Amino acid sequence: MDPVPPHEPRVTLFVTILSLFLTATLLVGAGVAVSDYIQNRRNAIRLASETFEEKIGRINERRLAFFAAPVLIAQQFHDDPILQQPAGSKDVNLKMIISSLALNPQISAVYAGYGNGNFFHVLSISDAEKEFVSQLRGPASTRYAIQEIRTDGGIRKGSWRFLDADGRQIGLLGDQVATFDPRGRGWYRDARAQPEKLVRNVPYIFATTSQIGMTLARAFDGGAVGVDITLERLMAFVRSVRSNDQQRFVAFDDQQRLLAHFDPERMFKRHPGQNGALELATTEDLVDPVVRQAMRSFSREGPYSSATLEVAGSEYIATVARQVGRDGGLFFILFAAPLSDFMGPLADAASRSFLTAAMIFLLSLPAIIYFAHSIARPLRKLSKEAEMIQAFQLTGPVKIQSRVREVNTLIRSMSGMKGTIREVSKFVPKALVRELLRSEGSLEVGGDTRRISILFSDVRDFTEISEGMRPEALMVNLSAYFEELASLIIQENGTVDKFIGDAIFAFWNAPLPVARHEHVACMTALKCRAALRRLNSRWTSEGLEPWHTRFGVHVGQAVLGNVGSADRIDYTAIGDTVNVASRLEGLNKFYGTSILTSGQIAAVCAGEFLFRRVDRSQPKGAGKPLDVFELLGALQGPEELRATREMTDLVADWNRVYQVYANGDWLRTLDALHEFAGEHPEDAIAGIYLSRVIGFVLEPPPQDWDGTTHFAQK
Amino acid sequence: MMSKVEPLPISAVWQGFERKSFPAGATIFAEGETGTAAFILLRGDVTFRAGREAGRERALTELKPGQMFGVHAVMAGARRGATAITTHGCEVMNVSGDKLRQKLEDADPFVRYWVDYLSKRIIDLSTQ
Repeated sequence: MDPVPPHEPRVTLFVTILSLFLTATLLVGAGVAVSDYIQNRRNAIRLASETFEEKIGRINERRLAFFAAPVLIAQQFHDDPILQQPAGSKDVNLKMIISSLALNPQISAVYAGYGNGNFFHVLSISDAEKEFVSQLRGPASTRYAIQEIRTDGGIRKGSWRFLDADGRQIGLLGDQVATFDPRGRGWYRDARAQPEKLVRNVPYIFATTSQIGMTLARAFDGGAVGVDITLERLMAFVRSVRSNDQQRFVAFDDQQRLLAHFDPERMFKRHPGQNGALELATTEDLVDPVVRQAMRSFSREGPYSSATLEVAGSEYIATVARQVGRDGGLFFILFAAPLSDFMGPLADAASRSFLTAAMIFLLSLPAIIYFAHSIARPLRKLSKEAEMIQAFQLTGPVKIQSRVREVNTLIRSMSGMKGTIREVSKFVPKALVRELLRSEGSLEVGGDTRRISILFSDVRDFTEISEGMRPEALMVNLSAYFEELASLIIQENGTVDKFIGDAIFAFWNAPLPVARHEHVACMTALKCRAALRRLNSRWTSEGLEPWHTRFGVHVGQAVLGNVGSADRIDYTAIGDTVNVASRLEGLNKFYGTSILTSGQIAAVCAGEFLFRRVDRSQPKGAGKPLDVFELLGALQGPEELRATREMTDLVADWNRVYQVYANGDWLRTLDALHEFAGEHPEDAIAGIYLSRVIGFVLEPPPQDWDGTTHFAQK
Repeated sequence: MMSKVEPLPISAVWQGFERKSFPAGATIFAEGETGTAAFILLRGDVTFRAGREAGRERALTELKPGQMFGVHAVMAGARRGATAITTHGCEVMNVSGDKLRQKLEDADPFVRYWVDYLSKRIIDLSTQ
């Protein structure tokens, strides 16, 4: 089964390093910003708490200021002897009363009720009361309206006088039967019930104007005075407490009755059982979700200075403060505001810190890119170098520098490895090493059968040559000789299996496939012969003996594979094909030739090379006879490899001789050889045939002779 | 059969061999002559005749192409024991004494001894 190929990452090191740097910078920036935000939020809550204290203080100040005048006026009227008189004109005090009302717009009315049912009432007309005046048919410019109710002859009669802003009477509504009786009013009863103190009742609907408001009342002997503050005016005060519409302000007393509400509409509710009469709302009737949540905290924990609420996705800060009124009564102020009211400037600061982080990030980006690049570039080059090593391009050292120590160590190791592979590859077939590097595989003992072309070479009389030379000089020459031949073979995609003494054993089509390997082997043999001519020419000029090399070329099936032990494995070819190639090389000695090939090679390559049929031989130990051909040259190609005209003529003449020889007519063969000798007197193969044919004349071979010459030696 | 020495060019191999043609009735060599060369009958006929010196010449044997003759006198350094004539004409290959001896030199010592022994034995028998 094939191993599953691992996922190939597409992200480069540069991008990875850059991303890490950027992520780190972004995280630090975000961390600073978040930490800033948290700190800001904490500060905001603290600020809110402080602001609330200040706010409550201000509310109290305003409350006191708001109620101070009404209280003072109520007290003053209570002490006024003229006002204490149930009968008689009060006009003496009217100017003082009007000026008090003018100075204190929060007061809508002052009045006095008497035990006999009389009633004196001065009304300050603001926009809210104008409709009431018009109902009485009073002038539109009325600023003050004075109502007086007296008992006249057992009949209670009332009148209205209308004054302008300067106190001039501008209208009058004459005596009418009065239905209003102060004695039945709550303020009167409450004040009479507690004669020693100023009574503040909860908001209610004023009987005269139908306005909503509250009354400060104080009893005197024979009656009580009252000062009205309309809710409208109270609300103007409440609104002044809030900075914006998102802030909530509610005041309620210890009986949970509302004293103030940021939305005046919520102050009262319709009583379900009394024909829908209005009554004061309680904290139970609060519907605003922020207020309700703030109240829940209050219900659990009582008053608190600061609490954070989350309502509908928004954060609020709320406080509920306990207060003691001027009259000693307890009441509570609830104030709530969105956290953003306090975070506003802080959020700006946070966004500034974000901006600063972004600026630092942008400014540091070129430096980050530079550093990422300086780390990634040597590694990228090193990766290319590794690919080149895998592609078996091993020339030159690895010339890369890095600022990073570990990377430099890696570069040095890679350079060393490259050199080692370069040196080791000299000991093994390069194609095999290349294949191993390419396939990232490992070697195992084993093999397979494949058709390969084999070349054997051997130096003629090497023993004599080596005996006549100093060993050092011999090694130098031998190295030069091998370098010349082996590099040619490798260049032609051949696998140099091994050097055996002065012999070379090489083959084609393994481990890598080689197209037309028979032709390549023949061409390489010719190239080697030409290269040796040049080498010999150089050696001769240096006073050295030339070397003559013989080649044997064969093609056939051979077992290719790794042979050896676990420590030392040789990639090699074994089998009869290899032996035949070796014997062909050896036969050169007998035939006086330099390149002998098998009939199989000649059959494949005859179209491109000039071959001469040499013999049908069976060296000792060979299983079957072998058709032997001499490779003379290429039909096309460079001159030094190409067959000459003489060679072509020789082969043509020889073929005629051989044809007669093949017919077994020895006398005519002698004739043909005689003629051939005239044209080619130096031909040694013909000489062999001449000797052989003379022998055949004397003693012809058996009738069933297949033309094979048997050799007693290998 | 495979020799350590380099094979000779055909011109060198031819040396010592000479093709000769004899017309009908010609004598190739005569009885009593010194034997300097052997012959291989290539074509035609050769008949050995002996006893001419004694005046009672008789035909000894008739050769066929592919047979060698005249070897003994060359190898043993003796005179021709018979006359070789051709009745209808022939073509022979003259093998020089040197060539014969060279061939013998090239041969295995045992074979060389054997040939030498046989030659001497023939001489002994013919002188008896």
